[in-house]
Amino acid sequence: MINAESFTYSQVSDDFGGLNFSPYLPLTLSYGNNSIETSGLLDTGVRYNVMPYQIGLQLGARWEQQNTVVQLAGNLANLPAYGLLITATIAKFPPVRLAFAWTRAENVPLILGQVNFFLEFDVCFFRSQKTFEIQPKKENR
Amino acid sequence: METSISTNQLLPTLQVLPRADKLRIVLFLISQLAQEEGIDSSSVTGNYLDWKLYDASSAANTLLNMLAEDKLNST
Repeated sequence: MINAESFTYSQVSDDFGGLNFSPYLPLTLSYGNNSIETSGLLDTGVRYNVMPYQIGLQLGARWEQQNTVVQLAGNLANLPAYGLLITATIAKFPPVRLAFAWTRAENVPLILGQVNFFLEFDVCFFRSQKTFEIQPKKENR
Repeated sequence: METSISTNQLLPTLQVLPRADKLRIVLFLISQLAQEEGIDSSSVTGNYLDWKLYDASSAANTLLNMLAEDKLNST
């Protein structure tokens, strides 16, 4: 991909003591006057972006002030979640607005899913080489 | 194999665990058995069995609506 940024897979340990390589993307999240540098797991199989509770707090979001309820599925379904709009900056690319399901759960990673991360960015995975490339979507196709 | 806790002691404890913890234990046991058999555990349990977010169209639609409103408000 022309003008793409390349990243390497991160080595992470799973719950069972094994080691896996996963595509974690470093990014800066901004909400109001607060910004944090973190990384999000790219997951094409997940329908939406998910933000764990702690990261929302670090960004200065107030749980009790949220009013857009989001009903999650799976084993996050029994926990409340709210929609949260965040500005995200990735590498040299212009900032984009990302919508997250901000869950009360703390034991999940920051997940970048179909809505709307993969609507904003094109990504190529090269798992065998443990790298991936990313670039903003092309506006006129 | 000698263990410090018997299965009979363990089972009642497992029984009262929350559903998510039970699922976590099932995945743990599957992973352990797979490792003992020399099988890649992720191929058995799947990486994301823990948080099945695949069929959650209402949440995705809610977020899309938020983005659309945000776009309107910023123009």
